[in-house]
Amino acid sequence: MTVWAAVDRRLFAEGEASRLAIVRAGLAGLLGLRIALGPFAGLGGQPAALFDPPALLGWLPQMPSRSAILAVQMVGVAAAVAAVARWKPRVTFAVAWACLLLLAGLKDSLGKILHNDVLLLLAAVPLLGAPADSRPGEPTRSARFGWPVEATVVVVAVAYFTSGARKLASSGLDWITGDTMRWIMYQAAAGDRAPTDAVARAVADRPWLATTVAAGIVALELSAPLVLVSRRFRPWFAAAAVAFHTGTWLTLGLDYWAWAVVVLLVLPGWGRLSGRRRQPSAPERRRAAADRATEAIDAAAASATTASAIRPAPVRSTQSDS
Amino acid sequence: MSRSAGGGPGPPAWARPFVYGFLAVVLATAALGVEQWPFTGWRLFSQTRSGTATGWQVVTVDGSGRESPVDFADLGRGFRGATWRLADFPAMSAAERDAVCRAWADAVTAATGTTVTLVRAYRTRAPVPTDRSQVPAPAPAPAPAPARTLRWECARR
Repeated sequence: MTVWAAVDRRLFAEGEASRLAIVRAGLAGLLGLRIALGPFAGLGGQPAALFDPPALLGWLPQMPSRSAILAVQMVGVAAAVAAVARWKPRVTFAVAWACLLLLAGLKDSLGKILHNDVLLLLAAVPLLGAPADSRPGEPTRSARFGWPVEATVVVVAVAYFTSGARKLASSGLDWITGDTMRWIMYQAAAGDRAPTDAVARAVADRPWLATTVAAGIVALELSAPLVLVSRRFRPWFAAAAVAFHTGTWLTLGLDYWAWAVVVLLVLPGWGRLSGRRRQPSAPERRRAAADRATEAIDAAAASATTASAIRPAPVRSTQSDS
Repeated sequence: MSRSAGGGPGPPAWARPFVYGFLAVVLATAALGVEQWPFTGWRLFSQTRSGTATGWQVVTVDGSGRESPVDFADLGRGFRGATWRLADFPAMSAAERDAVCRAWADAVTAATGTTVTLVRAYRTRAPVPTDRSQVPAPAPAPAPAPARTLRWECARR
C-alpha cells in the first residue's frame, strides 16, 4: 500500500455518527461563545485611516459601525445555538462560522495577525461539509461520518507541529536552552495581562524550570503528528494541550482557551465514550422490555399463522396398480 | 454517493477534492510561513527574547511644545493596534502616515480637549524588569538603560 493510499484510507475511514454530532455541536457552541464574548463591538467607530484588514476582508472600505457588528454577533450566536440544537445543522453551523470569520477578521484589522480564533476557524472548515443526519448517541458507523472529524484532527496536528517547528527553525535549540523563556516570563510578570504574576515569576526565577517548560512546550508541539497515527495518544495530547494553554493564561494572560476547547472536542473519541457510558433510563428499560415482549408475542403469532398457511397438503398416496 | 470499502455509503464525491484542497492550503501556508489570514504560518513566540524590551511611544505635542504620551487603551478598542500600524509606516506613503497621525490626534483632542499640533512616534528600548526577583538576572546582562529615539513626526493638517 502506498503512503498516499494509507493516508486516504485513514482520512476517509469509517467513523461514528455520534462522534461527528458531538464534535459539530461542541464546535458550534464554541463558535457561539467566541462570537458572544469577543470584544468586537468596541471596534466600531474606528477611523478609516486605522483600518488595516487582512486580504480576505479587503473589500471592506472601513470598520463597520458598532450596530452592524452587534447585528453580526446576534446572528452568529443565534445560528450557533440552532446548530447545537441540530436545527438545519449544516446551514446554521456555516452561518455561525462565517460570522466568527468576519468578526475575527475585523479584530485582525487593527494591524496584526492574531491567532486566538484561527485554530477554531480552520478546524471548523471540514465540518461545513459534514452530513446533517448524525445524532449524539447514535451508534451507526459509516465512511460518511468519519472524514469531517479526521480532517479536523489533521488541522490540529499541523497547527501545533508547525508552531513548534517554527520555534526551532527561527531560533534553534537556543529557544529551549537559552534564556528566552525566562525573559518571556519576566516581561509578562511586569505587565498586567495575567491574573497573577506569581506563576510567571516562579518560572523566570528558576533557570532549570524555565528550560524544562520551554522543552516541554516544544516537545508537546512537535509530538502533535502522533495524533494522526495513534488514537490512544489523542486524549493524552489533548490533556497536555489543555495544561499548556492554562499555563499560558496563568503566566502571560493570553486568550487561547478556544484552542484548548478545540483539542478537547476533536481529539478524544467522544462518540465511543458516550455510547459506552450511556445506560438506558428506567422508563426506557421498561419500554424496551415491553417492546421485546410484544415482539415475542408477534413473532409467535406470526409463526403460527405462517405454519397454518404453509401447512403441507395431506399427502395423497398413490398406489400403483401393479 | 460513493460506497465505502465495507460496502456502506461512502463520503460524497466532492468530499475528497474538498478535504485535500483545504488541507493542501493549510499545509502549504504552514510550511512556507505565509500569512493569508485565516491561513497562517503559525509564528507563535518563535523568536528568542533578551533582557531588552523594544516598543513604541506615541506622544502628542500641543501649541506650547509640551509632549503628552498617548494612552491608546483610553481611546477605545479601535485604537489598540497603534504600535502595529507604526511597524507599517516605512511601507506607507506620506499621505497615509499623515492620515493615521490625524486620526490619533483627533481622538486625543476629542478625549482630552487638548489642541494637538504634532504627533511624534519614538522607538523605545528598556531593560525588562526583574526587580522583584530574588535571583540574579539571566545573561545577557546588564540590559541597557531606558532610551527612546524619534522615528516619525507628522504635523496635524
